[in-house]
Amino acid sequence: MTLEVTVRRRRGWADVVIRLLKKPDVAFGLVIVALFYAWSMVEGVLQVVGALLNNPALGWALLPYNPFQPHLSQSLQPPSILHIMGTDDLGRDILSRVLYAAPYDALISLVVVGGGILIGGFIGMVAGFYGGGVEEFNMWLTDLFLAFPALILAMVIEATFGHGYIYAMIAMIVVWWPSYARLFRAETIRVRSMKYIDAALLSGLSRLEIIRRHIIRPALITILPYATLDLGNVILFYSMLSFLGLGQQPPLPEWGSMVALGLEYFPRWWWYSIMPGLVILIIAVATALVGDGLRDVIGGEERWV
Amino acid sequence: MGVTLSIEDLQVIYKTPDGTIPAVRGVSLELSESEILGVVGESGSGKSTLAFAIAGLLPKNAIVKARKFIILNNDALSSPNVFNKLRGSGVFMVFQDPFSSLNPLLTIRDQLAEAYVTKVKQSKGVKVGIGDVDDEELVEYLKRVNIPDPQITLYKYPHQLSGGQIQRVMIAMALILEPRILLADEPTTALDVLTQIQVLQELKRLVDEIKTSIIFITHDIALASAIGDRLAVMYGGLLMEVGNTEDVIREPMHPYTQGLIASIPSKSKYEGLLNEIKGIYVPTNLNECPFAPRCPYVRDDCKNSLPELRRVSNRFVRCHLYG
Repeated sequence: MTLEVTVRRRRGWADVVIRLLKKPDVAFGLVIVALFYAWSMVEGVLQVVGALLNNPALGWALLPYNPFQPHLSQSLQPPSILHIMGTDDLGRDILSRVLYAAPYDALISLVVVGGGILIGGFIGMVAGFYGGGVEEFNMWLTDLFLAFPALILAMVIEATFGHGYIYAMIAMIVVWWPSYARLFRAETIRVRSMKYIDAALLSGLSRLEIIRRHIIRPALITILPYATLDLGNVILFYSMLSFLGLGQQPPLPEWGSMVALGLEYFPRWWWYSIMPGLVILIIAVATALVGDGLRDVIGGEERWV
Repeated sequence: MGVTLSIEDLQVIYKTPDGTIPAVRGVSLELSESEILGVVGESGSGKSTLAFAIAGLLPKNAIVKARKFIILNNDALSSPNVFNKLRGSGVFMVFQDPFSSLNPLLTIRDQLAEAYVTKVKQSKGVKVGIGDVDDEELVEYLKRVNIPDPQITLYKYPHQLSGGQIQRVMIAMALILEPRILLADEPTTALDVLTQIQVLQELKRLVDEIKTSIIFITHDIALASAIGDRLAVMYGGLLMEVGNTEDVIREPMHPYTQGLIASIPSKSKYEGLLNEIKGIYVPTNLNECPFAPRCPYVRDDCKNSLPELRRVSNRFVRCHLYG
């Protein structure tokens, strides 16, 4: 008697995506997030190439309107077929401005979360793996940074060193890494107590190999859902900074600063601040949904049946 | 037959914020090649701490003291690096909880290959990539521990295996590494009775095939007597009775051993209650017999002086009754 048995050799990322798409809310979030980053990449490349070729018009080649060209006759038009999100006080198309600003938010979310994982991951994993005085010091440092309210700390950094996109990025990494340090430390301690670490030690693997093969991966995988969800938090926080005038400087469009400018025209010309605000909200909710879904899918992977 | 392990007066003390806890209070053991030593004791008797001390896997807050601590002709007291030297072919361990013994993110193949690669590196000095290890080679090891459908099991993840299968994978890992000493820390506690016997048989085969010595740690004296050539009974961090399994089971001398053997369930409920050892383990002063509070034969001197582990006829016993 022969029995056909199929074994999946690897639960690859394709499998994770398929399982994510099976849940309607997570699928919705995943589509939004994918669209956001895909668009940001295209638009970002166009803007960079445009700047390099000294032809900024390339930056709005795909947009319905030039996001910088004022049309005072068209100012504060409500949403319509011509201007889906309406126009601002200078008659600029809000949709075009929102789309033009997207790459900045996409880039800052990836850089800040990535930077947080790198710095926090290093500090947290070293603390968790070595323990003792190293752990004390690392965690003291972490707590020191966590003790300040994040927004105030970011504002202080920007006030001291300067305003603008790059400074906002640096300030946010400084604010962001401590929570990752804590997560990575906790994960490292959890994984270290597993008997397979002992077994690996006994089989003669070096400490470095053990960290590489048995600690980084499980720690990263448990932190991945949180990091995904965090992308939205970064965008929210950056919008907050721009709202306060600490992000992108005019005339460059930015979601948070558009909300801030639009407030002067609220509520009669509501679309000016509501539309960019809505975009921020949708992106933040979408990343939260994907992060949540990932936690269910990946989290289940590691748990024992 | 060579001596693989020789310990004299091994003490392990845990430092905690609330003070120090003596977990092992002076254990002397000698283990020969191909010998299986069963270590029996209840929770908190220090038997697992003893195993982790021999593997060099004690946590940082543990202090180890001994008069002599020789593993495979290496003096473990000389420096902590001795354990690093032994890694890979000296000491291996099969753990109590099968479900944390293997990395849940890697296939059985990758984890066996990991052991295989370190073994090849150590014995032949050749570096092989984990991906380059021949599957057939690993399948052979799984066959030797009687894993059904080894080709398929090789590409499974740990959560797809039963506890017994995981313990057999651990034994296969031991077959790869060929350790001189294998520590089995209650490897069958999480398994059902039939699987227990199979795992015991695999362990015995290990002794025949690679001439390893095994320290089999358990709370079940029946199990220990089924596998051990010699039996060591631990209580309160001390050895209470050490002797050949036959002798100890037939004619237990220490009251604690007697109690353990009497409490093996052998009656049906119509024949009355099961026997038990009265009371629970309580820490005692260092200068009294730790079993005194529960001992049916307790005398005054038991509370005033700790008996020595003395040779009595064919074994060693720590009890004032045999003074």
